Amino acid sequence: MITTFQAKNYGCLVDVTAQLTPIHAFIGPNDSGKSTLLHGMRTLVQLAGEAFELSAEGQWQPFEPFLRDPLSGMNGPPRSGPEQRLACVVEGAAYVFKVGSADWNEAFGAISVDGPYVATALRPFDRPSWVLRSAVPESPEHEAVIRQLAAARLVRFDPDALRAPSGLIPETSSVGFLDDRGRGLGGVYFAIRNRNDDAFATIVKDVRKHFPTVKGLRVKAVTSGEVALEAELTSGVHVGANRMSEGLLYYLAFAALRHIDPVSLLLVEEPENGLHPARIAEVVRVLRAIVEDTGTQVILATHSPLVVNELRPEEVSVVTRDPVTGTKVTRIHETPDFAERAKIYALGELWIAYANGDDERPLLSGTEP
Amino acid sequence: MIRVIVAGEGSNELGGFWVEAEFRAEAPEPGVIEALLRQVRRDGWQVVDALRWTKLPKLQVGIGKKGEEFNVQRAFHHARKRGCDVLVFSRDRDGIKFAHREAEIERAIEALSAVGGGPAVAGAVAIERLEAWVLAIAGVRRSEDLRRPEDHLADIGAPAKDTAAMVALVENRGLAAIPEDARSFLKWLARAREAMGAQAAPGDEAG
Repeated sequence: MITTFQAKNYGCLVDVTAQLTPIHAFIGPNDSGKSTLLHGMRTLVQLAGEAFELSAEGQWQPFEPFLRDPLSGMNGPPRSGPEQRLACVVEGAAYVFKVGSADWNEAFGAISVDGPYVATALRPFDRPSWVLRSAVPESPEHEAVIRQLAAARLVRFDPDALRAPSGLIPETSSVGFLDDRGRGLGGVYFAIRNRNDDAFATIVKDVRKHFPTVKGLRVKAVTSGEVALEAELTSGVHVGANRMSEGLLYYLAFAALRHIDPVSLLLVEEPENGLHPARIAEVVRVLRAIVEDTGTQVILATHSPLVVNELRPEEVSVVTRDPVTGTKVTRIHETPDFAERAKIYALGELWIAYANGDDERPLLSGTEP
Repeated sequence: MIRVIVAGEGSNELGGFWVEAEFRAEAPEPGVIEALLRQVRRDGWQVVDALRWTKLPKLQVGIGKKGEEFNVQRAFHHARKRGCDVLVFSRDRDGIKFAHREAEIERAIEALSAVGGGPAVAGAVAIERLEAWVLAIAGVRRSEDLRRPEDHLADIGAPAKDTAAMVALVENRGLAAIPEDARSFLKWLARAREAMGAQAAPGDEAG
């Protein structure tokens, strides 16, 4: 699990550190950097995964990462410019990916590391190629660290993508969506039904509970190679995915997350979209169950106080952005006067009561709005 | 100078304080609550801010009746944080359907008193609406029995939406003619006197 995430010169993240919990939500104004934090985490985990992937021959693979050159805007090794860094602390160690010319010893910055760091890759500007530092795990401890960064999945479900028919997932392939927006939902449900009858039955039972007009679910072939979800209503009418309500589609997508191949990090943008307020609590319960069942860490970016109401104070951080210093992350329970405010407001209400949609100053400085 | 924060439904209760602080006049026009309070204690205090019930967030699914208790707790919290000495409020009952409001608000006031500290609290539920209190000021009996007291305001020269006319009526009539059947209003007045450190003048009310 990532306990600390740090980014420097990554998108709008000039120099930011975030403390995380097994399930954690970023809240804050538009354009404050919440999504960039999620994308930074995904990039870091992807880099870690790619760096230490085993080849077919059982050898650890080196990697050749590229970041966008901050000066030219082109993909490829930066020729100059500020140091870029993505780093995290996991249990027992830190993992740092760095691009720049600064001395390696400066790489950890504000992250304090008690255990061994695993690896970093850097490319000094005065060198023609990437230099890998400990690119291959050197010990079982290192491998244990890398397993915590095994894979990341980012979802920002979109109803059109969820409605689209999709191909079947081969028996031996991993089960997952085809993209961030949830394309492949039909194929995912086909795989869940074929591989885990109980899981499919549980989902149908929950759907019937939360959507009383729905009697059952099935995966229907729409072409010779494509399937789509179909709901059978209590009235006997069959409703294809193309005509399903957005709320039901979103719910089915979140419910599926619990039964597809687990990842170490699940990043969810705006889980509240399209959901009735009472269903939002159910989705957060699903996400919490994913944490508890699979050990997957779940990080959310949300604008919904109703999502925040379902979380504990230590699980929420406020993201703000200053034009000069960039994005800043503050844990909500560390804001001034929090204990007193939390006595009279539920967590999401507290946010709304003191938010101003700009710099969130009343919330962060303890002043009255 | 006693610093007072006022909480209420809208412009009739709060006067010029009804709008957001950024849009208020330098010296906002008084609302009915401020005008009533001026009858209780002439000077030595000022309204420094106001809260609208609808602006206090209540965003919990199924919160239902608990909202009233939260309203008072939250208004008290904001009053204390703004350094106020007295929180004064009224809350419309709005019909027998919302009779629970009275019990909820009384419970909240009692709980705040038990804890002690912070601003003094002077508040009560207006049955059925603040306009009934204005009618009582004019000596109208059984004002609490009127389902729509605002419909009767014109009879006493204060149209329903005319805050300035209602304030003027309060200023002109004072508290001398309040009938004893205006229970919710008299309860509020007693609390206001206590909170403002004021004594009832002989023959002030319950005419």
